[in-house]
Amino acid sequence: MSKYAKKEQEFLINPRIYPLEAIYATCYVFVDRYYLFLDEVRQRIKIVFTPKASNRRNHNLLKGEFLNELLNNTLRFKISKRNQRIREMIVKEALFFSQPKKEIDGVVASEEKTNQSWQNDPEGIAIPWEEKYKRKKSR
Amino acid sequence: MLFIDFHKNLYPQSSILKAIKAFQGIAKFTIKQKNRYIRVGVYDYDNGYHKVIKQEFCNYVLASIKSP
Repeated sequence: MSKYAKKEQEFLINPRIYPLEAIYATCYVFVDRYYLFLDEVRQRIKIVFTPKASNRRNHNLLKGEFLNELLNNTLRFKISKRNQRIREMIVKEALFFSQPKKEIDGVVASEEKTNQSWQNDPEGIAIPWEEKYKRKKSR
Repeated sequence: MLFIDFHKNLYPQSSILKAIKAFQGIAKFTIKQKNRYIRVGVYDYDNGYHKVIKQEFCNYVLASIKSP
C-alpha cells in the first residue's frame, strides 16, 4: 500500500489543555490539504482527517505536524490573552492622538500656544543678521 | 440524501448557515436540531459532487468559524 493512500486519521484532543480557539486556528492551517471534521467524544474533541486527492505529502507526519502547530497556536493564544490590556492601551493612545485637534481639550490647545509664542519671535531671534545691522546703520 | 451531524459545542449555527448560503447553487439543504447536534441534510446535487460535497461543506463550515 502506498504511503500516499487515501486513509482517514483521527486524533483525540483534550480541550482542557488546548483551548478551542487554538484548535480552530490549527485546523484552519490544514484545511487546504485535508478534509477535517470535528466531533465531541467523552469530553474530548475528535478530529478526523481525510487527505484531499491533490495532497501528495507523507501522511505519517500528520500527527506530529498537527500537534506542533497546535502547540504553536496555543502559545500564541495565551500570549495574546496575557497582552490584551497592553495592546488595548496602545491602540487607545494611538486613536486619542489621531483625533482632530478640536476634540482633544487641553493637551493640543497648550501645544498650539507654545507653537504660536515662538512664531511671534518676542526676542527677535528670527531676524537675519543683515537686517539687524542695516537698522543700526540707518540710525 | 446525505446527512451531516455538527456538534453544537464545536460548530456555531451561524457558520453552518453561512456555508449553506454559499453551497445553495449546487445543492439543496435541510437543517434540524437533534439533541446536541445540528443535522444538515444535503440533497438534489450533481452526482459528480457525491464523493466530496460532504467533506467540502464541512471544511467550509470550519473555515468560516476561523474567519467570520
